[in-house]
Amino acid sequence: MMQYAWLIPLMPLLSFILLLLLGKKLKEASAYVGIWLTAVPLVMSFIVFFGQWGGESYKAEGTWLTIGHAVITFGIEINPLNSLMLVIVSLVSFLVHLYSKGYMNGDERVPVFFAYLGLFTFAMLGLVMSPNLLQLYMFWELVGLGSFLLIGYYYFKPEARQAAKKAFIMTRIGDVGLFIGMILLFWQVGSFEFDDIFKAVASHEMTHAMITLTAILIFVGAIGKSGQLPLHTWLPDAMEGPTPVSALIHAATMVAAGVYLVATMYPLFAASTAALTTVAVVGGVTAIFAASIGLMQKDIKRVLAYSTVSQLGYMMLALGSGGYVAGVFHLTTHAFFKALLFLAAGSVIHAVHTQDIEKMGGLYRKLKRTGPLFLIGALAISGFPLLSGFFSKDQILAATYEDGRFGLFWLAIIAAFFTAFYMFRLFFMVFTGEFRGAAKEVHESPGVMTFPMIVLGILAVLAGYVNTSWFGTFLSDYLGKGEVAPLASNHEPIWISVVATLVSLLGIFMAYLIYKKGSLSRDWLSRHLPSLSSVVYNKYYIDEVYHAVIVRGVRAFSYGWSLIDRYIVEGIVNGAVALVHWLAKLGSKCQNGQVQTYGAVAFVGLVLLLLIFAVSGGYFS
Amino acid sequence: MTGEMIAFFILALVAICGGVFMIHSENVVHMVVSLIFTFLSIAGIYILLSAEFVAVVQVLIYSGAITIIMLFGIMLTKHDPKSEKRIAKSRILAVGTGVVAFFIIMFLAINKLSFKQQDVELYVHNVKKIGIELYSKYVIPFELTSILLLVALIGAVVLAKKDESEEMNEHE
Amino acid sequence: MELETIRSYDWGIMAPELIILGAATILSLADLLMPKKASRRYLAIFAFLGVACALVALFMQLDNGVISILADTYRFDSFSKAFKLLFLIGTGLILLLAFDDRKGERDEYRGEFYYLLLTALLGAMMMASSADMITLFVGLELLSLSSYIMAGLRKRDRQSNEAAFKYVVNGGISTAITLFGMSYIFGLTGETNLYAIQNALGDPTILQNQFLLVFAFLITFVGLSFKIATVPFQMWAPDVYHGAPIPVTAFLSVVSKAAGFVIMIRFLLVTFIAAPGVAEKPLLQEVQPYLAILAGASMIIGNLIALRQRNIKRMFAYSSIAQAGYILVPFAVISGLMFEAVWFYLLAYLFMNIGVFAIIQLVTAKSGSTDISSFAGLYRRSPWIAVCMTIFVLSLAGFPATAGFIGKFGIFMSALSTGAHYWLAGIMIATTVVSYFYYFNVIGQMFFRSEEEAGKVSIPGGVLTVTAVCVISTLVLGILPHTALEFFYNQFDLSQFFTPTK
Repeated sequence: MMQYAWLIPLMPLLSFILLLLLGKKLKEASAYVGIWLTAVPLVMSFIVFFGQWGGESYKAEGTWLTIGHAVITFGIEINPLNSLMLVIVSLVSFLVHLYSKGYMNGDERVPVFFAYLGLFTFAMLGLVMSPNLLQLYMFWELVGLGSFLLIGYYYFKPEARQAAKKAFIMTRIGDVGLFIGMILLFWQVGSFEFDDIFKAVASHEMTHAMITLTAILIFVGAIGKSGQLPLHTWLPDAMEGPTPVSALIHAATMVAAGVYLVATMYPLFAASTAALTTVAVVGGVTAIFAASIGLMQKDIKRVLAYSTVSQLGYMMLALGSGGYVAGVFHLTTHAFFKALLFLAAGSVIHAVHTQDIEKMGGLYRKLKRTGPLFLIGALAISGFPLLSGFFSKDQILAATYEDGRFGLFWLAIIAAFFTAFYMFRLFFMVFTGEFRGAAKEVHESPGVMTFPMIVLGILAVLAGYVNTSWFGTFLSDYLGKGEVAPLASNHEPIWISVVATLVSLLGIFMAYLIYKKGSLSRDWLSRHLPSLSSVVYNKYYIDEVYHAVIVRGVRAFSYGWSLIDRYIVEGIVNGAVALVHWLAKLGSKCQNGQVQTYGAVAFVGLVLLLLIFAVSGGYFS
Repeated sequence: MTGEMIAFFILALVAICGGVFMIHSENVVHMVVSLIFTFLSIAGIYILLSAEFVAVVQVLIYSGAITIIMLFGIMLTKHDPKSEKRIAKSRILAVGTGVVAFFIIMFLAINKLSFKQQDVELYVHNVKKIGIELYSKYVIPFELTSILLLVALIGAVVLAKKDESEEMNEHE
Repeated sequence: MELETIRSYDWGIMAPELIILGAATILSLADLLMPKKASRRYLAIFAFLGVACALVALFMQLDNGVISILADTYRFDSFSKAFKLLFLIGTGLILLLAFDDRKGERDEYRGEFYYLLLTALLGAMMMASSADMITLFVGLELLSLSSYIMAGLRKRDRQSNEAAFKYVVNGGISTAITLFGMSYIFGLTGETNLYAIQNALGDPTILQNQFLLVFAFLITFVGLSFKIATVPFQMWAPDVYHGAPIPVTAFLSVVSKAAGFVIMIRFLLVTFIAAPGVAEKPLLQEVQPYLAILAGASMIIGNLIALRQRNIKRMFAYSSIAQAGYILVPFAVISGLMFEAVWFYLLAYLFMNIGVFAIIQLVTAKSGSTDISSFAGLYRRSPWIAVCMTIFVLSLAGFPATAGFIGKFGIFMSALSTGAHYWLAGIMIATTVVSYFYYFNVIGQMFFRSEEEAGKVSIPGGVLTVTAVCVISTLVLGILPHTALEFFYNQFDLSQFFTPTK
């Protein structure tokens, strides 16, 4: 079977080409082309995965080009990590295809949409299977192009156009780092092959400084793709794309590519403490930063977007703390529950035609399947005991703790509290209470949309059991075979679990008090301080204390971060853009159409060259 | 200072002055006349270098043919002696400084110039030697030059020829 | 020299040039003898056949070693054949493009255009296949002069007139500067043959004039940089590209630019390879920082100013300045990978840029304006054309799976191979990111803008062929680059380039 693995990415490519050619004739039927051509790779991925589970690795490659004496190859590789990724990517992609059949129903450009989905899936699968950095880089860019097309799918909305461009160009900035790092590695090692690079690292062929430099440059690429600070701003904006796209891009594939890159290059990172620390710090800060911004958002998809950024921060934190397995584990579980949450959010949006959570409410009774499924997703991401997120988050915390990064550890704990809080704020505001929206009739989504959610719901519950200290550490054993990484031990102190659980329960409880009990009005976030009399009359004194002390503190904190986000991070980005535009303006001013000026510029330029050379060369002395 | 040097300085001065006058003059005929001075003094410099052939060619083609054609062109076309709009001071300054700097750099370099063993017999049978070289060793660039001239001729014809549509307009 | 010696040369090796010359001559006679009203359009076919024959002749000569005629005034070696190939392919495609130039339908100077294109090609080919300063210079002038006239052929179009005028004046200045530099090289060595100059520059007396030698190098370089439109001689390009007819613009930005690189590499590298510098280092190493600064400045200026352009031709003019800056990088750092990097990039650039101009010609002819908005909603009007344009633009931006990526990749590899040029590679990457803004502006117009009233764009046969060839080549070179690189490695022999014929 392994020798046919190269067919896996080609199927979605075929779908892309077919739909591009025949899309106009197929119309609605093009959804089936897309679905079938992702179903087959899904089955194949499972076969490859189980073959790999049985211990069978595979690598096939041929010469692609020679530059000077360097031979650059092209091929595929199947190892434990990427066969796992294959399953995740093809599964989520298949489910999203299925879901889109219902969600995009009635859209005229359905063939185009499925074509883009095919292209994107192809790029992502190709990325995962690459045996060398250069090939990975090429697919990496292709993923960026696919996301550009998908996010900009509603091209008639200016925000969508802006978001698409932003997503592409912001990630490109990260890619610059990846590219330089890659070529530097090449000149150090003489090859782009992962295996050769790791061998060179292991045999100390490279200096320590070079290892750190290249690792950090490569991590810059991951920062861009995985929406880490400070290149995260594209990710929330990218919510302008259709919701199934958000599920695909922001849960399981594109943003996970950054984490995957670090995981794949792990031996390089592991050889440099400085690089690992960079990864851990960026990840930890991103986790708490994005989570605190998530507290304030009113758009259902933006909450999920910031949540994604925060969870990716967790994964980076794990990888940076030596928790290779924990990071990959969280990548897996997050793919399922976040895809579930996005699809459920899509189902809600489909029903009420708005993304503003202020205009929702009481939907639990009306959306009989979406409601419980969203609840499962929210519980899983909050780290509710025995659901998948609980186990993976636990291991991340344990890894961070064991690594001795206590500051980051406590940041991660606080971020876990925030996560539980904003997820349940979302849940209670959307699904409980009175309906505040304008839509008259609210219908549950069709079966073709709920089925993928049910599958993901089951996985969101069960996926955690592949790696638990009491049930079995299948994932660690499996990934350990690839002999790529030093493995963190699984002996986590039990109190970490307890604290993590308590913290997330506390978050849920707080959200319950505020948003379900209604003891505080729902729009407390945007309202001014309640007057002194309302404090006296209020029965829930503890809530008021909470409000006055914690919530305001949190609010200030959250507000502060979003200010930093808006004015400093965006400010730097906008400043750079403005500088570029200013220079461009200056340059075009010189181009005044006068031929004398052109001649003068050439001549003066020449004289300057001569003069600089003459002076610096000691000609006049 | 040898006589050769004095002659050189006079000729060079005339050449440069001719060029400067040409740029500064606002009357086209004056321009052409100052150009003739430049051409002729350059021919003089060639003679000083015992390159009589080039000098003769210079007089024949530049001072003779080209200036005559220019004068014809001036005679046969309309031209208003309107002065052009002034050039920005900053550019004059930049270019002026550039010219001065360029002159200093190149002058110093030429001043220090030292050649290896020179061929002294070059001026003997000057024309014959050029002819032989041109028609044997350099026959390929020579032939290529003829194509170049053909292209220039075609270009001149194309650009100078009256358009049919214009002709029709005139007849109407 | 005896007649026997002249006859003993293998004149047959000049077949490609002679075919082009013959075709140009026949065309000019045909143009003269044809009735006034008859359409000159089909002369393009004949010119194209001429180019094709020359290409076949060149292919038949591929296996030859170095052949030199009359002290290298004509020299056939691996360098010349590799680059002549580029010129011939490029000109062939441009002829097909001109065949379908609707705007030029009523021009009475169509016939002239075809044979001027051929003479320009002849000049470029001579620049590739000579190792003598005089032939190189005459070839350069033949190319330039033909180009000046081509740019101004559309006499009633004021922009075309303006373009031609600016081109001539700037070209004159550049020629003056080039010749000034060359005259010092000749003066110091007394030779016109490049290998003889190379030899003479090793002479100890040169050491007393090192500064003058470096100045001569820099002056010649700046003079030649006119042809490739890089800093400081880049300012003419936007105006000329904008005003000239589109096939001419394509020719200037592709073939003429490639020829500029050819003469630069051949002339400067062969002559100065062994020249001593001012200090301990050899001359080429000493001037490296200066060339690198000029390359960097070209990339920055080209890409930045392109951001502000609304006119599509001007935008690609600035883009071509930036592209020339990229190509200058391997030359500036003089790495061992220079030849393949430059050659491959020029090949890739040829296909992607001619493709871009083919589509610009189609679209602007339809809308009657060269504003970027004429591309609005192209995807919905003519999806195939939009997809092809996207491929070309992505390739120019250096996106993977296109020829442009491999080209840029090669340049990066060469820039980082010699070390200490990180900043140049950094500028290249940063400006590449900037270039994504304006390249994506074009893509955004095509895909994300709603339809203008202009309807479907129909695609005539000639342009269809050009577009198809360019798209296929761009993709094939991007996905299977070794097809071209292997050809290059098999054909190219570095020793032939640097050493004279025995």
